[in-house]
Order: sequence, then C-alpha cells, then structure tokens
Amino acid sequence: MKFNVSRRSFIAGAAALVPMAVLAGCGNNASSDGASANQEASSDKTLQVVCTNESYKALFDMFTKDKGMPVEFVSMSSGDVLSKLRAEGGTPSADLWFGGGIDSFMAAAKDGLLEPVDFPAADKFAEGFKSPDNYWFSKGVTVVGFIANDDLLKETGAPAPAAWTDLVKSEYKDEIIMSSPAVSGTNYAAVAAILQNMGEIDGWKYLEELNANIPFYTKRGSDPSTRVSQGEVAVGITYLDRTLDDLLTDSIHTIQPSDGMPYMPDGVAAFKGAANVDGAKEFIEWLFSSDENLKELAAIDKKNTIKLCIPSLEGVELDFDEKALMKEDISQFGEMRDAVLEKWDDMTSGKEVKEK
Amino acid sequence: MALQATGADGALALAVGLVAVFSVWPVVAMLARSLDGGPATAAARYGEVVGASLPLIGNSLFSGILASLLSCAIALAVAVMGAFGPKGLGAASRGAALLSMVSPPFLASLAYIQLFGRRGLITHGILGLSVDPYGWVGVVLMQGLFFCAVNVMLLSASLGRIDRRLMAAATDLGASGSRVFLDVVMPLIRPTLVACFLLTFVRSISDYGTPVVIGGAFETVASRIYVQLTGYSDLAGAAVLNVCLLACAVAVYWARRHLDAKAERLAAGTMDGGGGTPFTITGVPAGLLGIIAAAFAVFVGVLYLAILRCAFVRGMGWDAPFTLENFQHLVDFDLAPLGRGIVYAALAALIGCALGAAVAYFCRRRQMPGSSLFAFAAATPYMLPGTCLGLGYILSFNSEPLKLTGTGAIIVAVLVAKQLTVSVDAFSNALAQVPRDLDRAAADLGAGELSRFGDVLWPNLREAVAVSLLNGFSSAMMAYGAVVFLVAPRTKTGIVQLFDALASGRYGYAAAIAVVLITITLAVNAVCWRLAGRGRR
Repeated sequence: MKFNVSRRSFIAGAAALVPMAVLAGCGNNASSDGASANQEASSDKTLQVVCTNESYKALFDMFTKDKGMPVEFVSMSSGDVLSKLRAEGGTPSADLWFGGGIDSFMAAAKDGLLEPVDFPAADKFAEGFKSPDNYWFSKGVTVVGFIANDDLLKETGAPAPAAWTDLVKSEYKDEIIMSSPAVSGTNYAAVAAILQNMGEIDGWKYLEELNANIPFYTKRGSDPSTRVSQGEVAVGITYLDRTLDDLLTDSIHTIQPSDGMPYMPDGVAAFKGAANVDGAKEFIEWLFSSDENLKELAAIDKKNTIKLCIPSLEGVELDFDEKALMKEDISQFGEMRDAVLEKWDDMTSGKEVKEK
Repeated sequence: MALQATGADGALALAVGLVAVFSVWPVVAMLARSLDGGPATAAARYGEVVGASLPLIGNSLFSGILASLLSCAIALAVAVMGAFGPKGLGAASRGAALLSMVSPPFLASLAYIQLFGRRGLITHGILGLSVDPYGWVGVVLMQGLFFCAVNVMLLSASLGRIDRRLMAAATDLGASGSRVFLDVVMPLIRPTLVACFLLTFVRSISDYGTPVVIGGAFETVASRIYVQLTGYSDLAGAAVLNVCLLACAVAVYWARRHLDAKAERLAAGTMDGGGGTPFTITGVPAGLLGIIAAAFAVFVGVLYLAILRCAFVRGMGWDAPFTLENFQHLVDFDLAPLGRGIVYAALAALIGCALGAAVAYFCRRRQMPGSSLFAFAAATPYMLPGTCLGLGYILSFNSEPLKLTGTGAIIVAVLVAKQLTVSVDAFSNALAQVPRDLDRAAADLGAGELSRFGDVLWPNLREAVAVSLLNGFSSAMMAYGAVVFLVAPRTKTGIVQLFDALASGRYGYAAAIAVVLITITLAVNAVCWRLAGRGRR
C-alpha cells in the first residue's frame, strides 16, 4: 500500500511536471513569437494558397519546379475565405486565393481585400471572365445541371427531368434537393441565371414553384450529388463536372437541362496586404501566360471550361456546346447577390425553420 | 514556505492571465462585432436578427434539452453498469463511450444517414422501409449519443469516489440492490449528473455540425450561424446570434451555481473507504439501465462499423465492392498534417489539464473572491460554436503585440480554450469530494500550499486527470469548427484534410482518414488511461 501510494504520486507528479514545463514555454511568448517570426522570415519565399480542394497539388508542384518557390495550401470554401478575410482586417494569412464562386471574389474586391494583378496575358480573357480592373480572373466555369437516381424515380413513377421547366411538375414533389444559394456558389448562379433569363417576375414565380417541390435546402455544395447517389432523393440540382464520375452507376446519371445550364466562373486572385503578394502575382501570371499550364489545370479540374475564359487557348475543346449554357450577365452577379438572397430567404423562410 | 506561497500566487496569476487573454478576449472581440456600425445600426440589427431567430432559439432549446436528457440517461446507464453491473456489459458500453468520444464531426451523422436513411443499409436494405432520416429526431439522437462520453467519465469518476462502506451499511441493513442505488448512490452523484446535463446542453446548442448534416428543414441557432458565416460572410449578424446563444448559456450557468452550492454540501465528506463487499445493482433500475447501456453499445458499434466499412469499399449500398484505394490515396498524399495534428492535440491536452486543475483549485479550494466569475470566464469559449471562437481569435490576434495568426500556437491555444471548462469541471467534481479536513490537517502540519496541492489533493485527482487528458486530446484531434478559420497552409492538420474530402463528396477517402485519426486517438487515449490510473477500485 505504502509503495503503491508513492508510485502513484510519482506518476502524478511526473504528469504534473510536463504541462507545467509546456506552460512555462508558452507563457514566455517572446520565445514562441520569435520562433514563428524566424519561420516566417525563412519561408518568405513560400506561396501560401487557399484553394477549393487539394487536387491542385500537381499544378502547384509544376509552379515550384518552374519558379523555385515552394507552395503550401489549405482548402476552404469561398464563403469561409471571405469571412476570414473580413475578420483578419487586412492581414491575410495566405497569399493566393485559388478557386471558388466568382460572387465571393466580387464581394472581396468590393471590400478592398484583393490586389490587382496586371500582366500582358490578361488581355486574352473573354469579357466577363476577369474583373475590369484585374482584381480577379476566372480559371474555368462550373456548370449547373441535374443528377438523377433512376431507382427512386421508378418508385415514384416520374421520368427523369430533362429541363428546368420539368422540375416544377407536381410529380417531383419532395423529390428534389438543392443547396442553399447562400452557401453554394453554383446554386447562386442557377438562381441568378434563372432570374436573368426569365425576368424578375416570371423568375421568382418559377422559383416559388420549384421551392414547393424541395423539402429543404442543404448547406454544403456537394450534398445534392452525394444524397442522390445515396438514394436519399431522386433528383439533385448540382454542379456538373467529371468529379461526379465516381458517383455514377447504371441507375445514377447526370442530366444537362435542355433549356440551358447556368454557370459560375471560378476565381483566382491575390490577397491585398499578403506577406508574399508578389509570389501570388507571379503565380497568376505564370498560370495564365502558358498554354501548357492551363492544360494541366484543365486536366486536374477534369473539365475544359477554361476555353470559355480564354477563347484563344489552343488544344483544349469544350466538352459541351457553348449554346447549352444559359445566357448570363456575370457582371451583375456581385451587385444583385444581397437582394436576391434576401428575397430568397423570405421566400423559403418558414420552410428552413419549419419543424417536421 | 514563503517561496511556496509565491509559487502558488504565481500560478494563480498565470492562470488568470491565460484565461483572460485566450478565453475572454477572443469571445469579447467576436461578440463586439455585433455592435458594428454605431448604436442605431446595432440596435436595428439586434431587432431584426433576434426577431427572425426566435423560432430558431426555440428549436435550439428544444433539441438541446432533449439531447442533454438523452445523453445523461445514457451516461448514467453506462457509468452504473461499468461500476456495479455485469462485467461484460459494463466493459462493452464503456468501450463504446470511449469510442464515441473519438467521433469525427459530420461523419457519424453521415453514417447514420447511410444506415437509417431512405436507402439505408438497415432501414431499407434489411427492413425494407423507406424512412426520412432528416429532422430533429436525428439531431437529438446523434447529439445524445456522441456527447455522452465526457458524462460517462465524469459520472464514473464520481461513482468511483463514493464511500463503499455507505453501500455496504445499507445492504447490511437489508436494503435491496435497487434501493441502495436509488437512495444512496443517486443522491451522491446527482450533483455530477446536473453538471453533465448543463455541460451537454451548452455543447448541444453550440453544435452546428449535426443539424447541418441531418437537421434537414430543422434549423438551430448554431446551424444558422454557420450559414451566416459561410453563406453571407456576415460577422455582425453571426455575432448577434452568438449573443443569443451566450444568453441561453449564462442562464444555464446561473442555475447551475445555485445547484452547485447544494452539491458541495452533499458531497463533502464522501471519501473512498476502500474494500467492502462489491455492490451489485439489482431490480428495475438494473434492468432499465442495462437495456439503455446495451442499446447504446450496439448503436455506436454499428455506426463505427459503417464508417469502417465505408473506408474499405467503393460506392454505397450492400453490394459495394471492396477496395484499398482510399488508404492508398492517403499514403500517396501528404502525411505531415496528420503528425502535426497529433502534436497540437497532445500539447492542448497537457496544457488544458494543467490549466484546468489550476482554475478548479483556485475556484473550489481556495475560493478566492470572484472565483465563480473566473470559472465562468474559463467556460465562455465552450458556449460558442467553434467557428465563432476561431473568428474571435483572428480578431484578437491579428496584430501586435500578440500577433499569432498563421502560427501553430494559435491553434493549440484555441483547442485549449475550447475544452478548458470540461477539465475545470472534472477537477472541480473531484475536489468537491476530497474532504477539506484533509487539507487543513496538512496545513496544520506545516505543509505549504503547493505541497498540499501536490501531496494531498493530486493523488485524489487521478480520474480527473484522465478525464481531462482524454477529452482534451480527443476533442482536439477532432475539432474542426474551432480551427477552420485559423489553419494556415503551413499549420494544416489531419481533420482539415478529412473535411476537404467530405466537402468534395469523397466519403470513402474521408472515412479512411477518419479511421486513421480514430485509431491514433484511441491508442493515445489508452496510454493516458493506463498512466493516469483507472479509478481506485
């Protein structure tokens, strides 16, 4: 017993010592600050990237090989990036913003959080695919269509929808899933494009009818496709690209709506006030000035929509007819966002908070 | 002795300073954003946001109370079965509780949908049903299940410290197993049970992951905050909602202070007598708690099997083919964030344990003036959704003199702050059950404050150390909300990679990362558990 107690207190004492030592180290902020300052100094030449997903590693590796600048990256949704930028108050902890709905880039540019990047190849962009003052550039577009689960459709007896106008039919009641346009840039594009094409009055009328068929809006952009493939709902409104290929089976397939696909440009920008803002500028110029780099990007993104942004790009062809896209005035996307989302909220509220 | 007194005072100053800088300041910085734009704008904002959110507040309270009740019922069942029930069931359900503590956010909810959704492997595949898994039932169920682990540990520690002679005496006087449980054991652990309820309630109303995934049309304040930040990047509006959450939590803490006073009186003087005949619970309570514990163990087991299976198959459904590509993908990719995550979590657990012990000691033992305020201050980060705490950290530490954004230190700090109150609670409960006389006797014999803490109290706090370290490490490994805004490319951790996989819909890959994280965390926990000792039985 006696021995037991002393062994116990030995272990307890040892356990107590470790955190105390750590605390002492942490309390001494000067030293930890110094260490991080050193780290920053030595990695000044590192490019810190916020991207939409981690598959761009190969592209960043190419940049490092060409320019000798190491790249570190972390993924974050564009809405989160914007929240973070606003909280950081002009001291961004990354240099380059790579990917995300252009509406967030427009909002950031409006808040003065982006750094303009002027370079010769910037003239190659088609109208609407870069900001007039070079605050952001598009590296492709995300198109919006449907994904359908035939097993579930068979159960409900409805055919797969072929067009946006099909979605409001009563046979799809509670069988359609869509992400909230506030959270998903692509679905914001869908709502904005519908309003632009149908006009304010008919557009909202359509959205209201659509709303009646949608039981609730998910809060993450990838939810509709995964939920449909899991058999939770029959039809999803989703981005269409080849990253969905993994989900497709005999009974699960994507649909390009015959009355047009809305699309959302995918942005790239340098953060104003970033530690390595020159590196970010260098990267943007490097990427858009070389056809080879853009082709690598298209290969990673598994889509060739960069061709829409830079029509002069050779050796890359769109895998759909450009006419399949809805007509959009992207320049309005940033300005109309607040008003559209507010109205959207009013229209769907009572629904989003409704108890089942 | 004079030196020791200064040592204790120095520790106090350090603890107060750390809590002020890393718990209070960021929370205040975040909440202050609700006042942006001057009094008139702020007033209008409060009116608008609060008005629009009243149903959400109702939803939060509703699901929070139900989830906390469920969680406490489960925790009680598991802890009691572990202490007084059949060995196998006790071990199985405690194992399930340990496992559930190591739950990657979102994934368990996704597994739930996979199992019990419209095409669920169980509901549809086996039972042939087509049920809608979305709504408040799923939220309450998942929160109740996955928030109970800490409660199990707090309750087990509490049960372990009950004087066995009391139960033996009652048994000798002819009381049945069920009467002893209801009349002797329950009153003694009630204070801990109340603490558990409140802790779970606060955690439930600030949890956004569960309602976001399986809430469907059921929205809470926390899930609204998520939309506000991710969809609208509206810091001011999110801050107002945070004030609402905090108001609920403050009310709860105020109620708790009232109950705590009773707790001290009840618990004082209970000390382990050691030995005695082992007590076995019988009767209706035994049956009821046994069923709950068994159901819990089965449910958690099935959910984790679903995650495990997901990591090894391609696609969904019962006929999905076996594959190792998810793990291959993991190895091919960057393993550094995994290692980094372990280091951050270990540091956070150790610092959180030491700081929690210090705060509990100064509040409970020394009962210095303002100690309840101090304990509340340490608890505030726990009351906010992790994302908002993270934003508070950015707001507070993005400029000199304390520029920490982009460093690993800020991540460790936020992980410590977020879970500090659990550690404080564990130590407070334990201290409440060590008689003050012991302390006084040591003081009379000339022991200084530090040696009284080290030699008299510490040996009685080993369960608390275990709870604090296990919870600290597990939640730090799995914390996503708190770190999402704070990770810089060079400080990315494993959980961030898991989220990247989830966000791009690659569940298999996400499940593979989760399996690795869970395995590592469980291994570390097992070591901690051994080192800290498993109770005094």
